[in-house]
Amino acid sequence: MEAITQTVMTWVKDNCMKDKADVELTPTTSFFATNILDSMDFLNLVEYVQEQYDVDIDEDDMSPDNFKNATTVAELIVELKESA
Amino acid sequence: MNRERPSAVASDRLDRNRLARALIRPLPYGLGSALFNVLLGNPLGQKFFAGKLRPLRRVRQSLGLPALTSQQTARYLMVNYTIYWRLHALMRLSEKDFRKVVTVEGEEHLKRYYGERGIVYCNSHYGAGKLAPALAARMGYDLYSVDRVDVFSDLPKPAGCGTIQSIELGKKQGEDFHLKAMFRMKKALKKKALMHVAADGYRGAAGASFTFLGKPRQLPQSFADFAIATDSVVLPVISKLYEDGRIHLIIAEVIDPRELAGTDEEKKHQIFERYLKWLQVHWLEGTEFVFKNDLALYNQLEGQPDSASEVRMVSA
Repeated sequence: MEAITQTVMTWVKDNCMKDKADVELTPTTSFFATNILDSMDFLNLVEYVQEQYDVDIDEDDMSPDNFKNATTVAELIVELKESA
Repeated sequence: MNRERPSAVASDRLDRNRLARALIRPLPYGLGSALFNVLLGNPLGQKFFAGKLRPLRRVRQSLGLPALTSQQTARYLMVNYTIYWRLHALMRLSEKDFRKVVTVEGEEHLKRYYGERGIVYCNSHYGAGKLAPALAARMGYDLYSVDRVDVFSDLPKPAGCGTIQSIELGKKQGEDFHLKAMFRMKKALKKKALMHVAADGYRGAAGASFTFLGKPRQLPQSFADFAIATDSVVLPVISKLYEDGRIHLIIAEVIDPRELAGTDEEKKHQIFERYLKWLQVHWLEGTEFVFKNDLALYNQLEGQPDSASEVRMVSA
Protein backbone atom coordinates (compact mmCIF):
# COMPACT_ATOMS: atom_id res chain seq x y z
CA MET A 1 0.00 0.00 0.00
CA GLU A 2 2.92 2.29 0.60
CA ALA A 3 3.91 1.92 -3.05
CA ILE A 4 0.42 2.95 -4.15
CA THR A 5 0.48 5.94 -1.80
CA GLN A 6 3.80 7.05 -3.28
CA THR A 7 2.49 6.65 -6.83
CA VAL A 8 -0.51 8.83 -5.99
CA MET A 9 1.74 11.43 -4.40
CA THR A 10 3.98 11.47 -7.46
CA TRP A 11 0.98 12.00 -9.74
CA VAL A 12 -0.29 14.86 -7.56
CA LYS A 13 3.17 16.51 -7.47
CA ASP A 14 3.60 16.21 -11.25
CA ASN A 15 0.12 17.36 -12.21
CA CYS A 16 -1.25 19.66 -9.53
CA MET A 17 1.54 21.36 -7.65
CA LYS A 18 3.37 23.45 -10.22
CA ASP A 19 2.29 26.67 -8.54
CA LYS A 20 2.15 25.26 -4.99
CA ALA A 21 5.83 24.88 -4.19
CA ASP A 22 5.21 26.11 -0.64
CA VAL A 23 2.97 23.13 0.19
CA GLU A 24 4.68 20.09 1.65
CA LEU A 25 2.99 16.96 0.38
CA THR A 26 2.96 13.99 2.74
CA PRO A 27 0.87 10.79 2.64
CA THR A 28 -1.69 12.44 4.92
CA THR A 29 -1.67 16.01 3.59
CA SER A 30 -5.31 16.97 3.10
CA PHE A 31 -6.13 17.70 -0.53
CA PHE A 32 -9.18 19.71 0.53
CA ALA A 33 -7.55 21.81 3.24
CA THR A 34 -4.62 22.75 1.00
CA ASN A 35 -6.64 23.15 -2.23
CA ILE A 36 -3.93 21.23 -4.05
CA LEU A 37 -6.54 19.61 -6.28
CA ASP A 38 -9.51 21.31 -7.87
CA SER A 39 -12.57 19.41 -9.07
CA MET A 40 -11.12 18.56 -12.47
CA ASP A 41 -7.88 17.39 -10.85
CA PHE A 42 -9.88 14.95 -8.73
CA LEU A 43 -11.55 13.55 -11.82
CA ASN A 44 -8.22 13.22 -13.57
CA LEU A 45 -6.78 11.46 -10.52
CA VAL A 46 -9.68 9.01 -10.58
CA GLU A 47 -9.02 8.28 -14.24
CA TYR A 48 -5.32 7.83 -13.59
CA VAL A 49 -5.70 5.34 -10.75
CA GLN A 50 -8.38 3.40 -12.65
CA GLU A 51 -5.98 2.91 -15.56
CA GLN A 52 -2.90 2.40 -13.43
CA TYR A 53 -4.43 -0.21 -11.12
CA ASP A 54 -7.17 -1.60 -13.32
CA VAL A 55 -9.93 -0.81 -10.83
CA ASP A 56 -13.41 0.50 -11.40
CA ILE A 57 -14.28 3.57 -9.31
CA ASP A 58 -17.94 4.43 -9.38
CA GLU A 59 -20.03 7.34 -8.24
CA ASP A 60 -20.53 5.94 -4.74
CA ASP A 61 -16.77 5.88 -4.19
CA MET A 62 -16.52 9.63 -4.86
CA SER A 63 -16.63 10.76 -1.24
CA PRO A 64 -14.41 13.15 0.75
CA ASP A 65 -13.35 10.24 2.99
CA ASN A 66 -11.91 8.30 0.06
CA PHE A 67 -10.14 11.24 -1.53
CA LYS A 68 -8.96 13.36 1.36
CA ASN A 69 -5.26 12.43 1.01
CA ALA A 70 -2.90 10.05 -0.78
CA THR A 71 -3.26 7.40 1.92
CA THR A 72 -7.05 7.23 1.70
CA VAL A 73 -6.87 7.02 -2.10
CA ALA A 74 -4.44 4.10 -1.75
CA GLU A 75 -6.76 2.43 0.77
CA LEU A 76 -9.64 2.74 -1.68
CA ILE A 77 -7.58 1.17 -4.45
CA VAL A 78 -6.56 -1.75 -2.22
CA GLU A 79 -10.15 -2.28 -1.15
CA LEU A 80 -11.38 -2.27 -4.75
CA LYS A 81 -8.70 -4.69 -5.86
CA GLU A 82 -9.49 -7.07 -3.02
CA SER A 83 -13.20 -7.03 -3.77
CA ALA A 84 -12.74 -7.51 -7.52
CA MET B 1 -23.92 16.26 5.17
CA ASN B 2 -24.20 19.75 6.71
CA ARG B 3 -25.20 22.44 4.28
CA GLU B 4 -25.07 26.16 4.89
CA ARG B 5 -28.14 28.32 4.20
CA PRO B 6 -28.14 29.55 0.64
CA SER B 7 -27.40 33.20 0.06
CA ALA B 8 -30.20 35.52 -1.10
CA VAL B 9 -28.87 35.45 -4.64
CA ALA B 10 -28.57 31.65 -4.73
CA SER B 11 -31.95 30.91 -3.03
CA ASP B 12 -34.15 28.47 -4.90
CA ARG B 13 -37.21 30.09 -6.45
CA LEU B 14 -39.10 26.80 -6.39
CA ASP B 15 -39.37 27.15 -2.61
CA ARG B 16 -41.31 30.39 -3.00
CA ASN B 17 -44.83 30.99 -4.23
CA ARG B 18 -45.50 27.29 -4.41
CA LEU B 19 -49.25 27.74 -4.13
CA ALA B 20 -49.36 30.34 -6.90
CA ARG B 21 -47.43 28.03 -9.21
CA ALA B 22 -49.71 25.10 -8.42
CA LEU B 23 -52.75 27.22 -9.27
CA ILE B 24 -51.51 28.48 -12.62
CA ARG B 25 -49.85 25.25 -13.70
CA PRO B 26 -52.94 23.85 -15.48
CA LEU B 27 -53.22 26.98 -17.65
CA PRO B 28 -52.86 26.02 -21.34
CA TYR B 29 -49.90 27.64 -23.06
CA GLY B 30 -51.83 29.85 -25.47
CA LEU B 31 -54.25 31.16 -22.86
CA GLY B 32 -51.54 31.66 -20.26
CA SER B 33 -49.29 33.50 -22.71
CA ALA B 34 -52.11 35.82 -23.71
CA LEU B 35 -53.01 36.53 -20.07
CA PHE B 36 -49.40 37.24 -19.12
CA ASN B 37 -49.04 39.47 -22.14
CA VAL B 38 -52.05 41.50 -21.01
CA LEU B 39 -50.83 41.63 -17.40
CA LEU B 40 -47.18 42.33 -18.05
CA GLY B 41 -47.47 44.17 -21.32
CA ASN B 42 -49.57 47.08 -20.14
CA PRO B 43 -48.25 50.20 -18.37
CA LEU B 44 -50.15 49.52 -15.11
CA GLY B 45 -48.87 45.98 -14.81
CA GLN B 46 -45.36 47.14 -15.60
CA LYS B 47 -45.60 49.88 -13.00
CA PHE B 48 -46.35 47.19 -10.41
CA PHE B 49 -43.02 45.57 -11.26
CA ALA B 50 -41.10 48.84 -11.51
CA GLY B 51 -38.74 47.93 -8.66
CA LYS B 52 -37.82 44.65 -10.33
CA LEU B 53 -36.53 46.51 -13.37
CA ARG B 54 -33.71 48.22 -11.51
CA PRO B 55 -30.92 45.74 -12.38
CA LEU B 56 -31.88 45.91 -16.05
CA ARG B 57 -32.06 49.71 -16.09
CA ARG B 58 -28.69 49.93 -14.39
CA VAL B 59 -27.02 47.60 -16.89
CA ARG B 60 -28.51 49.48 -19.84
CA GLN B 61 -27.42 52.78 -18.39
CA SER B 62 -23.87 51.58 -17.84
CA LEU B 63 -23.73 50.31 -21.42
CA GLY B 64 -25.12 53.54 -22.85
CA LEU B 65 -28.28 51.85 -24.15
CA PRO B 66 -31.53 53.80 -24.58
CA ALA B 67 -34.40 53.69 -22.08
CA LEU B 68 -36.51 50.56 -21.95
CA THR B 69 -39.52 50.27 -24.23
CA SER B 70 -42.76 48.71 -23.06
CA GLN B 71 -42.07 45.70 -25.27
CA GLN B 72 -38.64 45.17 -23.74
CA THR B 73 -40.09 45.52 -20.26
CA ALA B 74 -42.73 42.89 -21.03
CA ARG B 75 -40.08 40.50 -22.33
CA TYR B 76 -37.92 40.99 -19.24
CA LEU B 77 -40.85 40.24 -16.96
CA MET B 78 -41.83 37.18 -19.01
CA VAL B 79 -38.28 35.81 -18.83
CA ASN B 80 -37.99 36.30 -15.10
CA TYR B 81 -41.49 35.53 -13.80
CA THR B 82 -43.28 33.08 -16.09
CA ILE B 83 -40.74 30.36 -16.78
CA TYR B 84 -41.77 27.53 -14.45
CA TRP B 85 -45.36 27.65 -15.65
CA ARG B 86 -44.12 27.61 -19.25
CA LEU B 87 -42.00 24.52 -18.58
CA HIS B 88 -45.09 22.47 -17.82
CA ALA B 89 -47.41 24.11 -20.31
CA LEU B 90 -44.99 23.62 -23.23
CA MET B 91 -44.75 19.92 -22.52
CA ARG B 92 -48.53 19.60 -22.77
CA LEU B 93 -48.69 21.19 -26.24
CA SER B 94 -49.45 19.03 -29.24
CA GLU B 95 -46.58 18.58 -31.67
CA LYS B 96 -48.29 20.91 -34.14
CA ASP B 97 -48.79 23.67 -31.57
CA PHE B 98 -45.29 23.17 -30.19
CA ARG B 99 -43.83 23.84 -33.63
CA LYS B 100 -45.94 26.99 -33.92
CA VAL B 101 -44.72 28.31 -30.57
CA VAL B 102 -41.07 27.23 -30.81
CA THR B 103 -38.91 27.99 -33.82
CA VAL B 104 -35.39 26.66 -34.08
CA GLU B 105 -32.42 28.06 -35.91
CA GLY B 106 -29.28 25.93 -36.31
CA GLU B 107 -30.66 22.51 -35.41
CA GLU B 108 -28.43 21.05 -38.11
CA HIS B 109 -25.42 21.71 -35.84
CA LEU B 110 -26.97 19.59 -33.11
CA LYS B 111 -28.07 16.82 -35.49
CA ARG B 112 -24.61 16.60 -37.01
CA TYR B 113 -22.93 15.65 -33.73
CA TYR B 114 -25.75 13.98 -31.76
CA GLY B 115 -24.74 10.41 -30.99
CA GLU B 116 -21.41 10.86 -32.80
CA ARG B 117 -19.53 12.94 -30.23
CA GLY B 118 -20.24 14.14 -26.74
CA ILE B 119 -21.93 17.54 -26.88
CA VAL B 120 -21.62 20.21 -24.19
CA TYR B 121 -24.90 21.99 -24.89
CA CYS B 122 -23.78 25.33 -23.66
CA ASN B 123 -26.77 27.35 -22.48
CA SER B 124 -26.81 30.73 -20.78
CA HIS B 125 -28.90 32.51 -18.15
CA TYR B 126 -30.85 34.20 -20.91
CA GLY B 127 -34.35 34.18 -22.36
CA ALA B 128 -36.07 30.85 -22.15
CA GLY B 129 -32.78 29.33 -20.96
CA LYS B 130 -34.43 27.28 -18.21
CA LEU B 131 -36.60 25.69 -20.87
CA ALA B 132 -33.70 24.63 -23.09
CA PRO B 133 -33.42 21.02 -21.86
CA ALA B 134 -37.18 20.56 -22.16
CA LEU B 135 -37.14 22.04 -25.66
CA ALA B 136 -34.38 19.65 -26.71
CA ALA B 137 -36.33 16.70 -25.27
CA ARG B 138 -39.48 17.81 -27.11
CA MET B 139 -37.41 17.89 -30.28
CA GLY B 140 -36.70 14.21 -29.65
CA TYR B 141 -33.23 14.34 -28.09
CA ASP B 142 -32.16 12.41 -25.00
CA LEU B 143 -29.97 14.51 -22.77
CA TYR B 144 -28.48 15.13 -19.37
CA SER B 145 -29.05 18.44 -17.67
CA VAL B 146 -26.80 19.90 -14.99
CA ASP B 147 -28.83 22.09 -12.65
CA ARG B 148 -28.99 23.22 -9.08
CA VAL B 149 -32.15 21.20 -8.57
CA ASP B 150 -34.10 18.78 -10.75
CA VAL B 151 -37.11 20.53 -12.28
CA PHE B 152 -37.68 18.05 -15.09
CA SER B 153 -38.58 14.73 -13.52
CA ASP B 154 -42.23 15.65 -12.91
CA LEU B 155 -42.84 17.13 -16.36
CA PRO B 156 -45.41 15.60 -18.69
CA LYS B 157 -43.81 13.39 -21.34
CA PRO B 158 -45.60 13.55 -24.67
CA ALA B 159 -45.10 10.89 -27.33
CA GLY B 160 -41.76 11.15 -29.09
CA CYS B 161 -40.22 13.20 -26.31
CA GLY B 162 -36.61 12.47 -25.40
CA THR B 163 -35.55 11.80 -21.80
CA ILE B 164 -33.90 14.30 -19.49
CA GLN B 165 -31.59 12.89 -16.83
CA SER B 166 -30.83 15.49 -14.20
CA ILE B 167 -27.43 15.89 -12.62
CA GLU B 168 -28.03 17.98 -9.54
CA LEU B 169 -25.38 20.27 -8.17
CA GLY B 170 -27.49 21.14 -5.15
CA LYS B 171 -28.44 24.44 -3.58
CA LYS B 172 -25.06 24.74 -1.95
CA GLN B 173 -21.88 23.08 -3.08
CA GLY B 174 -20.60 20.43 -0.75
CA GLU B 175 -17.39 19.07 -2.16
CA ASP B 176 -18.53 15.44 -2.31
CA PHE B 177 -21.85 16.29 -3.93
CA HIS B 178 -20.16 18.42 -6.56
CA LEU B 179 -17.55 15.76 -7.30
CA LYS B 180 -20.18 13.10 -7.82
CA ALA B 181 -22.03 15.34 -10.25
CA MET B 182 -18.86 16.06 -12.20
CA PHE B 183 -17.98 12.40 -12.23
CA ARG B 184 -21.36 11.60 -13.81
CA MET B 185 -20.94 14.40 -16.33
CA LYS B 186 -17.55 13.20 -17.49
CA LYS B 187 -18.72 9.60 -17.72
CA ALA B 188 -21.78 10.56 -19.77
CA LEU B 189 -19.84 12.79 -22.16
CA LYS B 190 -17.34 10.01 -22.77
CA LYS B 191 -20.31 7.94 -23.87
CA LYS B 192 -21.22 10.70 -26.37
CA ALA B 193 -24.13 12.12 -24.40
CA LEU B 194 -25.80 15.47 -24.98
CA MET B 195 -25.05 17.42 -21.80
CA HIS B 196 -26.89 20.65 -21.04
CA VAL B 197 -25.03 23.13 -18.85
CA ALA B 198 -25.39 26.82 -18.11
CA ALA B 199 -21.90 27.98 -18.94
CA ASP B 200 -22.08 31.60 -17.84
CA GLY B 201 -22.62 30.95 -14.14
CA TYR B 202 -20.78 32.60 -11.30
CA ARG B 203 -20.43 29.44 -9.19
CA GLY B 204 -17.82 26.75 -9.46
CA ALA B 205 -14.05 26.76 -9.51
CA ALA B 206 -13.01 29.85 -11.41
CA GLY B 207 -11.15 29.59 -14.68
CA ALA B 208 -9.27 32.43 -16.23
CA SER B 209 -10.38 36.04 -16.17
CA PHE B 210 -12.08 37.58 -19.13
CA THR B 211 -13.53 40.91 -20.01
CA PHE B 212 -17.28 40.66 -20.29
CA LEU B 213 -19.03 43.77 -21.58
CA GLY B 214 -16.17 45.92 -20.40
CA LYS B 215 -15.81 44.40 -16.93
CA PRO B 216 -13.40 41.74 -15.71
CA ARG B 217 -15.06 38.52 -14.60
CA GLN B 218 -14.26 34.87 -14.14
CA LEU B 219 -15.99 31.95 -15.79
CA PRO B 220 -16.26 28.49 -14.25
CA GLN B 221 -13.75 26.40 -16.10
CA SER B 222 -15.65 23.12 -16.13
CA PHE B 223 -17.52 23.17 -19.41
CA ALA B 224 -14.43 23.78 -21.52
CA ASP B 225 -12.39 21.30 -19.45
CA PHE B 226 -15.01 18.63 -19.98
CA ALA B 227 -15.17 19.23 -23.71
CA ILE B 228 -11.41 18.88 -24.09
CA ALA B 229 -11.08 15.95 -21.66
CA THR B 230 -13.85 13.92 -23.32
CA ASP B 231 -13.25 14.93 -26.97
CA SER B 232 -16.68 16.55 -27.00
CA VAL B 233 -17.84 19.56 -28.96
CA VAL B 234 -19.23 22.74 -27.42
CA LEU B 235 -22.55 23.88 -28.83
CA PRO B 236 -23.66 27.32 -27.61
CA VAL B 237 -27.41 27.73 -27.48
CA ILE B 238 -29.64 30.62 -26.55
CA SER B 239 -33.39 31.11 -26.60
CA LYS B 240 -35.41 34.28 -26.84
CA LEU B 241 -38.81 34.49 -25.21
CA TYR B 242 -41.17 37.02 -26.74
CA GLU B 243 -44.04 38.78 -25.06
CA ASP B 244 -46.63 36.74 -26.97
CA GLY B 245 -45.10 33.48 -25.75
CA ARG B 246 -43.15 32.58 -28.88
CA ILE B 247 -39.74 31.09 -28.28
CA HIS B 248 -36.89 31.25 -30.76
CA LEU B 249 -34.08 28.81 -30.08
CA ILE B 250 -30.72 29.68 -31.64
CA ILE B 251 -28.10 26.97 -31.83
CA ALA B 252 -24.74 28.37 -32.83
CA GLU B 253 -22.01 26.70 -34.85
CA VAL B 254 -20.05 24.18 -32.90
CA ILE B 255 -16.75 24.93 -31.18
CA ASP B 256 -14.67 21.80 -31.73
CA PRO B 257 -11.51 21.39 -29.61
CA ARG B 258 -10.07 19.20 -32.38
CA GLU B 259 -9.99 22.23 -34.65
CA LEU B 260 -8.27 24.48 -32.14
CA ALA B 261 -4.50 24.87 -32.00
CA GLY B 262 -2.26 24.85 -28.96
CA THR B 263 -2.11 23.20 -25.54
CA ASP B 264 -5.22 22.19 -23.63
CA GLU B 265 -4.99 25.43 -21.61
CA GLU B 266 -4.81 27.46 -24.80
CA LYS B 267 -7.74 25.56 -26.30
CA LYS B 268 -9.74 26.18 -23.13
CA HIS B 269 -9.04 29.89 -23.43
CA GLN B 270 -10.14 29.89 -27.08
CA ILE B 271 -13.37 28.08 -26.22
CA PHE B 272 -14.12 30.63 -23.50
CA GLU B 273 -13.35 33.56 -25.78
CA ARG B 274 -15.57 32.35 -28.58
CA TYR B 275 -18.43 31.56 -26.24
CA LEU B 276 -18.15 34.90 -24.41
CA LYS B 277 -17.95 36.87 -27.65
CA TRP B 278 -21.17 35.19 -28.81
CA LEU B 279 -22.85 35.77 -25.44
CA GLN B 280 -21.88 39.43 -25.34
CA VAL B 281 -23.52 40.03 -28.70
CA HIS B 282 -26.76 38.54 -27.39
CA TRP B 283 -26.58 40.53 -24.17
CA LEU B 284 -26.14 43.74 -26.17
CA GLU B 285 -28.92 42.85 -28.61
CA GLY B 286 -31.34 41.93 -25.88
CA THR B 287 -30.51 42.88 -22.29
CA GLU B 288 -34.22 42.37 -21.58
CA PHE B 289 -33.72 38.65 -22.09
CA VAL B 290 -31.07 38.31 -19.37
CA PHE B 291 -32.01 36.76 -16.02
CA LYS B 292 -32.33 39.36 -13.30
CA ASN B 293 -29.84 37.65 -10.95
CA ASP B 294 -27.21 37.69 -13.69
CA LEU B 295 -27.83 41.36 -14.37
CA ALA B 296 -27.43 42.04 -10.64
CA LEU B 297 -24.20 40.04 -10.54
CA TYR B 298 -22.87 41.91 -13.56
CA ASN B 299 -23.70 45.21 -11.84
CA GLN B 300 -21.65 44.09 -8.83
CA LEU B 301 -18.53 43.47 -10.92
CA GLU B 302 -15.77 46.02 -10.52
CA GLY B 303 -15.02 48.40 -13.31
CA GLN B 304 -16.83 50.74 -15.60
CA PRO B 305 -17.83 49.34 -18.97
CA ASP B 306 -17.36 51.19 -22.21
CA SER B 307 -20.42 52.43 -23.98
CA ALA B 308 -22.45 49.87 -25.89
CA SER B 309 -21.11 50.97 -29.25
CA GLU B 310 -17.51 50.45 -28.15
CA VAL B 311 -18.36 47.11 -26.59
CA ARG B 312 -20.12 46.16 -29.82
CA MET B 313 -16.91 46.92 -31.73
CA VAL B 314 -14.96 44.72 -29.34
CA SER B 315 -17.47 41.95 -29.86
CA ALA B 316 -17.27 42.18 -33.66
